Amino acid sequence: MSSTTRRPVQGAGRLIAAIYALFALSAGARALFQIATKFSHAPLAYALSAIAAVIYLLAAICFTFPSAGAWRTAVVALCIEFIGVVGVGLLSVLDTSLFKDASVWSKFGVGYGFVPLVLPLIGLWWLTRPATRVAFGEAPAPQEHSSG
Amino acid sequence: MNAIVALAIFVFLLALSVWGLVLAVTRRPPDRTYLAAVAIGEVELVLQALVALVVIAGGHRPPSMGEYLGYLAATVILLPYGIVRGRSPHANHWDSAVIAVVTFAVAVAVLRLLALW
Repeated sequence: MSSTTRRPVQGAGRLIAAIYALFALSAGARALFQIATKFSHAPLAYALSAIAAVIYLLAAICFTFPSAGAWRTAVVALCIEFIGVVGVGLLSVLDTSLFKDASVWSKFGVGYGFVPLVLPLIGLWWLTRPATRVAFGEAPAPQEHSSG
Repeated sequence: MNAIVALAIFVFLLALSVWGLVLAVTRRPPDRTYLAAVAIGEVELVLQALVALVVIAGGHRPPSMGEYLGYLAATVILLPYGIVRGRSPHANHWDSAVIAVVTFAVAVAVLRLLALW
């Protein structure tokens, strides 16, 4: 049984991983602060920010330590992230009374320059590239080398 | 916090971000000159944080203290991460892009600091 060597992520993945880490930090710190100081003011918005932060952190870890499991986890996390940002974005536009304060995903992430909306798409594009799947050990390498 | 100084640091960080973007687009890893400039940016941020802490210790109270200190910590810890990435022997043009993103994020955080002061 061949063991997958955990090499650092190469190429665009390094940038995407860094951006996810940055968002995990900013959304996480913000959510922690808001939940600690004024949770009752807008519980739904702050809880959503916390959920978003956990997803960002999970994605950052998966992007940094490639493995087949990390690849699948990242795909699921990014799909949830995209559904979340579109769903929360729509809700926050249609029913403004629902969120008393902005969350990371409110109005499609306008507070963060719409990066939350674009990031999962770029991430999924990068993850589904054949070279990335090989690098994560999720797909076999094009040229198989015999190993002992 | 002195608004003029904070805005000067903001502009310096934006320039670093554009510089990093140019390196990334032209497919060059962060070079020594660029990393030295980023290090100067970090020195500015540390000095700004020290001054802010001294003024807070002297009695100034930002309206949202926890938030302010959070952003203050972010402005100090992020650039060293970029410098470490850039100094790696395997650094390539994607690390230039990482530093461009990080310096931009810190520039925004400096603006937030100014608004929260």
